[in-house]
Amino acid sequence: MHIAKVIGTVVATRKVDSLRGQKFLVIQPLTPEGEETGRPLVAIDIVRAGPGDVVFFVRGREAAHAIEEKFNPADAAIMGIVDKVDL
Amino acid sequence: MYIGKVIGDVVSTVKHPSLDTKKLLIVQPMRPDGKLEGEPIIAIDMVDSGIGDVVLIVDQGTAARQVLTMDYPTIRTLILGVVDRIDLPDGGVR
Repeated sequence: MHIAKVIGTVVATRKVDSLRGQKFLVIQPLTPEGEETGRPLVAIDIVRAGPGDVVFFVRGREAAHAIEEKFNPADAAIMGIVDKVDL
Repeated sequence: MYIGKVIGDVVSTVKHPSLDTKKLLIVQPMRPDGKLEGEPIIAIDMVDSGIGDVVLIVDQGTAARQVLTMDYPTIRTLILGVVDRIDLPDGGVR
């Protein structure tokens, strides 16, 4: 899993059935120190995060398993809101 | 699997139910010669490791599925062991 900052929301009315009802957020990956790294991506959100929140997310097939409908094409999912990082 | 060094921990109150009671640590991948290289990643700790430990990491969902016995794993990065020593032809770490 990786740390990221939520920088936006995505609204998509027409989408595949297996992603119906899901919330999409645009996230910018961060280093643990809080610097931006890599390209922003779109992730599904199950923890009710919002723009400005620092979150952690999982990439790959495991992202799809985060929601009720397991057979879906999501490749990134926000798994939690970061309260604090200790380095 | 690869070797990494635990460089931090993450505290999160609001998280996916599959992560309840799991300990989240930040691990910096490390080459066997001790050089830190690559992007840090958040891993679930299975062996009670802590900051400063050199650890064995797996980053694959099927492995996490076996260790955590989840049918549909949401976790793909695990700390599987604490490395006591690495022996290399030209000297080791720890």
